[in-house]
Amino acid sequence: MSTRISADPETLEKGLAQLVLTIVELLRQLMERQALHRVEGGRLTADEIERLGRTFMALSERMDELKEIFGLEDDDLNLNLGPLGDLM
Amino acid sequence: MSLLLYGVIDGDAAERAGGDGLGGSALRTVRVGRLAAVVSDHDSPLRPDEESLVSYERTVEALMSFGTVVPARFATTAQSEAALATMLRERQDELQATIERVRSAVEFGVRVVTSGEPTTEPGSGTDYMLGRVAEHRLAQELAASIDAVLGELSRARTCHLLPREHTLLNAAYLVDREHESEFALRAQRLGGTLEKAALILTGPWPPYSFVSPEER
Repeated sequence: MSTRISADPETLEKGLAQLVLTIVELLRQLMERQALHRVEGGRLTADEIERLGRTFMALSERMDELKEIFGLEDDDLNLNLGPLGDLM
Repeated sequence: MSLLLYGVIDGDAAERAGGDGLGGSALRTVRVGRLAAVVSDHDSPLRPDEESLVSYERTVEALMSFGTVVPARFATTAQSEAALATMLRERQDELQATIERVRSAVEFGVRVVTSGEPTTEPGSGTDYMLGRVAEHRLAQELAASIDAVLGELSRARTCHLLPREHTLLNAAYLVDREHESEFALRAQRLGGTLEKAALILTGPWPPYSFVSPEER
């Protein structure tokens, strides 16, 4: 049986992972940027800062793991939005 | 058969433009009004592999010697000369404005990366957060001090703070060709003054970062 789309499942999976991780990385960066502003603003308690820090540390480690699993580099986690430039 | 677009140049420069495009293909120009598109013919779809990207980038760079270039995004193609002409005609005003904005200017990339021993793993969430805050402040100060030295030699700039791990900032400057050597000299001198960080200067490039509509 002939298929119209000749796509190797591994390439497809990597492409999908790249897209999903790019979005997650963008959200992580946005949230971290907001968190930095709040910490700099000095209105968070020590406990809140600790919890925020732990969350971002865990997220960063998990991202590294996923990047390794799918063989992706930092540079792969970006999207070219055509006339809008790069996502990040 | 489709056309691969490399960039848009002044119509006056169309006759001078030539040379090799991607994979040794011959460059030619398609004129629309006061503009000219530099293209080559291709049968097969393009693959965004390293070899093609390098070959494409070299071609766009070579176009800089014929005058001001508005570089196209990699793999911008048109089905026919007529389709390309229509596309250019629709965007003529915008392209004309862009070419004026980057006229006789080149782009330099300025990136500052942290160097030295890798920082120790943060022990607690607070360490991590305060480390990031300190890094952010450092990146802000650096951006300001770099701008103080390079800003007056440039027409425009973009700057991203902490774009990724181990990178404090990533900036692009649009520099008049007459200031090119002075800019490079100052950037190198700046790099020598940094502690625990290295300044990486790249360019001159075609003005990639300054041809998107949002930079207007």
